[in-house]
Amino acid sequence: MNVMGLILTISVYPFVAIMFFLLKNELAPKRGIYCGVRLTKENAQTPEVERIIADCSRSMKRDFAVLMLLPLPMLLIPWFSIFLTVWMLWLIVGIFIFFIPYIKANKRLKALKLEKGWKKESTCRIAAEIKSAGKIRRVKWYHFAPPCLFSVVLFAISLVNFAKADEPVFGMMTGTFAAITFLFCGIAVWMDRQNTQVISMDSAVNLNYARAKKNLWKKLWVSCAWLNTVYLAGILFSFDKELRMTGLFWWISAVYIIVTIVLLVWIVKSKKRLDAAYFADGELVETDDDDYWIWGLFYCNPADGHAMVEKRVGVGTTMNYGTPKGKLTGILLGLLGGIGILSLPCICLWVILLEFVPIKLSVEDGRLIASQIRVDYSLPAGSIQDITLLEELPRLERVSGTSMDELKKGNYRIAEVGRCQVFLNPQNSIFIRLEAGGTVYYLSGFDDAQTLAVYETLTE
Amino acid sequence: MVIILNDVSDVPVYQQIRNQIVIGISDGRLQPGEKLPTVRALAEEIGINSMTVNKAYQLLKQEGYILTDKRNGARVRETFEGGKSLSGESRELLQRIISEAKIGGMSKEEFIRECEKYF
Repeated sequence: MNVMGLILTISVYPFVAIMFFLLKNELAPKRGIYCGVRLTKENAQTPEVERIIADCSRSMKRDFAVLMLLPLPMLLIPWFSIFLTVWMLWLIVGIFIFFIPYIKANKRLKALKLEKGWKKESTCRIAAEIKSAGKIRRVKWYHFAPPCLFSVVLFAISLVNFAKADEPVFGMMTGTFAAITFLFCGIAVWMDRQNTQVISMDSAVNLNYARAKKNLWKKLWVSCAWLNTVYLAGILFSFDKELRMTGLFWWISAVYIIVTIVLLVWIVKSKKRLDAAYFADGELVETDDDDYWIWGLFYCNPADGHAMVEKRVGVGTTMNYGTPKGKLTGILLGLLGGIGILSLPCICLWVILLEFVPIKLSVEDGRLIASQIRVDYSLPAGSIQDITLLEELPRLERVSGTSMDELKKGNYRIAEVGRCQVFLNPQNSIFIRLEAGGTVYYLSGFDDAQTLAVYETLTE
Repeated sequence: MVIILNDVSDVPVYQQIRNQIVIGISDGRLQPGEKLPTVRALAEEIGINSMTVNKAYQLLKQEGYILTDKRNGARVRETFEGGKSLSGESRELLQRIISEAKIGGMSKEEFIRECEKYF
């Protein structure tokens, strides 16, 4: 396993554990909801309900154990592309597998509720707290102004450096992180404007719960905005004068990820504590809207005009897919998710082709052709100058392109020399360096014999 | 104050809002002079069209329960006009309810006890 494989393993392996703990956490009763089904305390304590939840928990644990053990033999795969493909498949399975027992438990509980006559008449009742209408706002402009301002300033600094060093990737990276600060600000305002959840017939309880909940979200998004701004500053410090990445970048990135996870754990725990305090006696307003929750995950109630509602699984809000806004968002999310899921096998197939299709260097019809899958470079032989045969490669830093054990191609940089185009197998022992049209190229064939043959043809 | 609307009821939504605000005023959950939310804010809170809330407010204003002005928005009236008698419409409704209770076998005493709960 090479360094890329190690980075892939470290970054992907914890994901399934996070998914498992998040969904396992959802098996505990939350606001009187058990596996996405609303039950009273008495009903929830019956052996049938306990058995369904225990079955779900057991299935999740079994799937988790299998998924955590599966990668061990995967570590022995010597080919990076196959290694990557298997990891991606593992990841896709890991995203969805824990939902299967959860959905099964949700269906069984709904059926049990119906069978036992626990289900209340399902009327389209919409409760609203009129005393809080438009009043509870916790996010003020001055909470987000400093991180947004700092982000803009840092981005401006990076643009000045980018103009000096002609490095578009750096400008794109800092621009993206500056935009993320604004995105956090937008999400905070949008969440702050959500309606007050009616949990009691006592207005004071509803108002206090809404204030406490909105305070939590405000703290989270303000912290995220500041964290992002500090990370952006860290990015600027972690690049040297020639905008080359230093080791500091990886350290601050690791800290960024750790603090993000800490914030996520904090919000989940704080929200759980808050709910436990307010919902100690279960849901205080009696409503039965289970029919509108598909698998306990998706809310679809055309009679409810609210586009956003409190999630049953996880923390935060979800769309009401029964409203026009919700339908549109659902279609967009479905398309994005579908493209995301489908793009993974396509990327893996492309990487497999890159690893297993040999590179080819040849001279045909007076042109030097470098091809693999498609023609990468086609240079007129007449434009080639200063051609030399190297027995050792200089230290190449990738700017964009492919870097594998047996393939390097794309846009690279050499310290104190500058940019160059690379198309070679680094395992070879001879390489061609040439200049054409003001660009430096480092090339090789599939093996040394191919490289030498092309070199001799070009020098003749 | 919590209002609960039933979307499948025969009673129009604006009428349900009007009825619940009247009940809120009568049981003290809405105090005399208390400010009501703006039409837009209440519509967003309930998740309905602003026109529906506006219609409910207009009805409440017409019936003398609330006052509205452009600067201060809507508020519950400090004092309510009218004598100590029911309107013709309310009398008719009460008569219907009493008849239903009678047919259902409720005694006068039971009916009065039921009324006392809500009065």
